Amino acid sequence: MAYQLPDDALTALANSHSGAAWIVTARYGGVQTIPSAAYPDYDRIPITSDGQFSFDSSGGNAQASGSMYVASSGASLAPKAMDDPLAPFGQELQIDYLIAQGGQSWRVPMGVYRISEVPSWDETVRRYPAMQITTGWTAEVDFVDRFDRISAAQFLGPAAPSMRTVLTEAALLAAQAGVTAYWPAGLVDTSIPAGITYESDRLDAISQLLAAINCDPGMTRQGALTAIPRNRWIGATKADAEISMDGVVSFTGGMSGDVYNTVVFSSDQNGLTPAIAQIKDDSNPLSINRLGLRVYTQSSSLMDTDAKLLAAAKTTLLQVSQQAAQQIKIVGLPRPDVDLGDLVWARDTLSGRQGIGQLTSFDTGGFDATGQWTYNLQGVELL
Amino acid sequence: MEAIVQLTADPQVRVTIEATDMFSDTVSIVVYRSVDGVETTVRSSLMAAAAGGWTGIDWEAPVGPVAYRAEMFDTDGNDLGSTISVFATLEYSDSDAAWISDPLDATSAIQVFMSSGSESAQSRPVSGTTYALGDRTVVLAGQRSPLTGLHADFETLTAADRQSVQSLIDQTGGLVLLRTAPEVPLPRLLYCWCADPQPSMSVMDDFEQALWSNQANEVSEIQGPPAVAAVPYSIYEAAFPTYGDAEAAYSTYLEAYKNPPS
Repeated sequence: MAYQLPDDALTALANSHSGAAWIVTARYGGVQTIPSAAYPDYDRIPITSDGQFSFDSSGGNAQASGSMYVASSGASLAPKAMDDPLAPFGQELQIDYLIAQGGQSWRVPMGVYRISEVPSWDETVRRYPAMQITTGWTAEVDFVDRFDRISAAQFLGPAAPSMRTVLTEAALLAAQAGVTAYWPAGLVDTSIPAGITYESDRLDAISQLLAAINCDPGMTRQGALTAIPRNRWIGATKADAEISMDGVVSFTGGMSGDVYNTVVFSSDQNGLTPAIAQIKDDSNPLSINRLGLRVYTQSSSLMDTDAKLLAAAKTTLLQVSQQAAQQIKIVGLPRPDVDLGDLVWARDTLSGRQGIGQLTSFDTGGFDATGQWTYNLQGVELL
Repeated sequence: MEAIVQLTADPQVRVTIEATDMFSDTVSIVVYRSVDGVETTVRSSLMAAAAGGWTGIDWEAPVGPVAYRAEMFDTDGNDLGSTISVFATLEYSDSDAAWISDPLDATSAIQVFMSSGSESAQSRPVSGTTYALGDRTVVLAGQRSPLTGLHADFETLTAADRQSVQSLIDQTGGLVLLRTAPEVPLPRLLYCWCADPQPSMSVMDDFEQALWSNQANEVSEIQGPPAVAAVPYSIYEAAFPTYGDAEAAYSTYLEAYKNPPS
């Protein structure tokens, strides 16, 4: 859910302001390494405004990833040993966005990221008659969110759920990979049927579990596993939106033919027959008679009754018949308070077009605090 | 605290700082230099061991008035507070007198003279982007940049000085410290990148005097340890055959620091 900012900060974000900045610090095993007494030259990691930083909930493993360029004179932070602050062996980065206006400032945490790779680093040295001194250094640092850690902690062999409900089991799976879980209020938990086994991928197992309560896995700003409810945009109004953008740089709608009008949902529990959901109403352009039969199949062991199977088929049909057809791409000012899955309302004040949708991906365009951000919504244009 | 100004050019002007009046449980200090309201650290004093006292040299002392204070820390790194400030003034004869040096190399300073016409057109643009949000126009302003494209022209009086400047630029890649008098409308400690200073000489004075056309871009303080220690340890080794001899000559470490064997 969107990060709660005071009204002053939201006003600053929507208007001309100066002093915004990205602030990156480093930690390793629960201990802050930069800034710390060991590196007195640095009060933060000296990043440049280049790089990239984007969030995408449709990806398989990580949802947020990016790369940053680091450069400074002074003591080199280029990683050489496995426990150096910027080495890719469990070291983590805390990325914050600073908003400033009128003598006030607000520091918005943008998440905790694991360093995945340092593709290159370089040091410039100068030789004096008696000694050689490092006078400057640069490094490129790639990072991903903590899904990487869950995904890498594969099951050691065939495994089965040890808890009775979806949320407790998902939290346990994450905890076994060293990631805590935080569930937003209002999630309806459900029981796990007997006889389920996991395949090797831990993140897949968590996704499957959360799908049973109509959610996708997400990551909080503190680096904890959370659940993002699906399809909140259906029937949503401006009042429901967590993020409002009145005035955008560009507002682009898109339609894709990548839709389905038939869902076959199967389960290997108790010899159930697959449930089928279809669009048959010919007033709908997607009906099987007008578009032709386009079949989407899915299966889940979590569905252990006919009623659950049919409900799942209907929900899935709702998604696959709409999600690809209506995409809204918005280019606007930075909104560090957005989270994936938030309901976003946006209006182009010149053309009067407005839309509401659930945020599926966004891109900060790197680490230039004055750069524009791109938001992709799954939703509808309001008329 | 005491600050002793040395104006001789061997190798350059400097301020020697002696800190003796510190709290008894002080083990390390950081000395701060205050110039025109801006406080920066003295390079050789970053968490310097200071049990019983400390003395060190500020090779980057600005021309004109300057203040120093020391922040004291105990064994656990707790901040014990600051000493009172001491004031010093590096006198100068002409307002155009300046020093150009490698901030990491105490022996590299050369006296130059700022020429008229320099320091004009001071440009410090703010980065940022203008966005047309429908019917509104919004600017996200970034940080103000340091001085860019500054014309910091100067003169050297002798051919030897000209060659020294030449080798300084070679050695540092043009990353130098330019120290000017308070009258010059520039930061008195200007860390800058002089990528291509161009000297022009005249046959009239046998090519002695050179006017340097110099474009400078300001940078943040160049960090790093000092490259050349003021007094190498080997001097003590040469002067005192055994440790006992040194002990007999000096009552404390501080005394040894202050009075190296000549």
